[in-house]
Amino acid sequence: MFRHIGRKLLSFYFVLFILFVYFPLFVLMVGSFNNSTWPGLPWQGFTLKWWEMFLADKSALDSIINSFMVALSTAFLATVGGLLAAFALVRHKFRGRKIFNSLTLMPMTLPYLLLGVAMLTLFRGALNLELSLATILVGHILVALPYATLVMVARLIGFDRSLEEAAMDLGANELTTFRKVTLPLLMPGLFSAAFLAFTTSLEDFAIAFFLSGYQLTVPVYIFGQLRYWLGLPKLTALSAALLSISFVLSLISALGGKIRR
Amino acid sequence: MKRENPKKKVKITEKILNIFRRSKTLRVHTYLLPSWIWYILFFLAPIGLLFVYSFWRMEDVFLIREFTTQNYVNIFTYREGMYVRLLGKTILMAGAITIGAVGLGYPVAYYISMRMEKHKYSALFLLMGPYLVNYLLILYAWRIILEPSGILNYVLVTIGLPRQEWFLWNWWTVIFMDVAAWSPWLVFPMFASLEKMEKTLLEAAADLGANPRQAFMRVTLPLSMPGILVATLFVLIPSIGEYATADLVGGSGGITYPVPIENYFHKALQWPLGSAMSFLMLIVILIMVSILLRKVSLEQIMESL
Repeated sequence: MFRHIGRKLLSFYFVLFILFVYFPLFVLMVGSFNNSTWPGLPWQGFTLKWWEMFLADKSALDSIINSFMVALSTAFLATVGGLLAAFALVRHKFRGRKIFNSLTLMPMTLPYLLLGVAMLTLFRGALNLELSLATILVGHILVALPYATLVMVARLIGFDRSLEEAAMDLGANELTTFRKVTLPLLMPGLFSAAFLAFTTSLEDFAIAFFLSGYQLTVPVYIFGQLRYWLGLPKLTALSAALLSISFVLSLISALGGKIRR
Repeated sequence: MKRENPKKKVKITEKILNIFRRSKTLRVHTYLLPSWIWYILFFLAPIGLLFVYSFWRMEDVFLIREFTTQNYVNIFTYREGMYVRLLGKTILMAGAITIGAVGLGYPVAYYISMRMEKHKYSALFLLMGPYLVNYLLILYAWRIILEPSGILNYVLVTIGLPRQEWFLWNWWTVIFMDVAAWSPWLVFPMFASLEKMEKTLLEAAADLGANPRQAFMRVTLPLSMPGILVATLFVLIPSIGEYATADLVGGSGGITYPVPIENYFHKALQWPLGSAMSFLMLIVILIMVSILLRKVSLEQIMESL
């Protein structure tokens, strides 16, 4: 009897949690169509003016493009770097392995704020570089690389090397073997490493905040708007737009994963 | 001519491959090169530079590159140790955020792993929803909800309750917002370790006369501890360094240690003092991480990614 109640309570909690998690998203979605200068209740009627305002805001649209460019480059470069490092870590013994391992872990365990200010002192203080999307990219690769490395290490440990040996026995050289055997088999792992790197970059505020110049990424743009109370309802349209873009993207990636499996 | 070209190409690749075939060391270090570059140039060097900066000082707008420990003295003495108290408060808040987010997330992980039979992964996918938009936007949504003239107050007033003005602009706002932002994410590592558990152990416990509560306390909870620790690691460290929440919804009561750091780097141009404060935070965090990492292994972190 009590057990039954316990189970019911737990399912109830689960539903409540999902509602709690989705309520803010719902507020943003609905708010973007509410004809009220401050999004929220009461409902003042349907409008598209916040969407028009958002679509006319060049800096908002630019920040979306910037964010995706940085995130895609981060995903690609960090995954390549992570794959290479994983090859060394899983298939070879080498000196300095312990140091390498702890260097991989260190950036993961420090708050992004610290990495941001540290790289700021390097780029602005020591090298006197202009801050740009490139400096953000460098910072994002630093935080994505350890994740990509760990994911690829996990995939390589479970990798059946006899397939590669078979290819080599049949006369393929290392490059062909890599291209035709290793790479296709590692695709799901590469995909999840890239996805992890991509979202890390897209979500990051703290590093981009310190390393951005005139070109902003989405979180830095949003922060500026929120901090100085600029164009607030416009932000609900931005959120709804971002939500739709990433929903489509994650649907594609989920379907892609399913087909591969 | 046309025929020779591909042959030549093959020759060159073969030559390069041969260099790599001959030396294993070269091979390994080529693999590691991008990572070494990034870790040394963009991690160790900046942290080292931060350390150096923390011993320099500013005179007006000029950086004086002379050794001084004044910055560290300042941190501990400024307004009777305001910064040290601020750091303490930040750590306490991060602790509360961790307990809140892990506590809210654990029953969800437990439910998905133990009670759901089908659609486990769809349920997990559902939890990724809020990460489709940036967490700053989630923060903004909660601000719309909790404002004095916000949605929650509108509902309260409509049903005849007094308006509440204390939701925003204080330390509990920061804790609440970070818990709300983090808890769905923490379900993943805890789910991973619950999934790994042998479910037959629970039957064994029941056969030996344990009631469900005893079975949970003695079997399930200890076996899911690695997941809980990984989740703790995931949330505790970032919430010490969390800057945006405190700045956007914390008000004066919700100021945390990173807020003055940002200020010293961006507005006040007091990099040496900011560096010293950052370095103090780094040391505190390294101590915490080394305690946590003694209990969690690298494999456990990997499995929950």
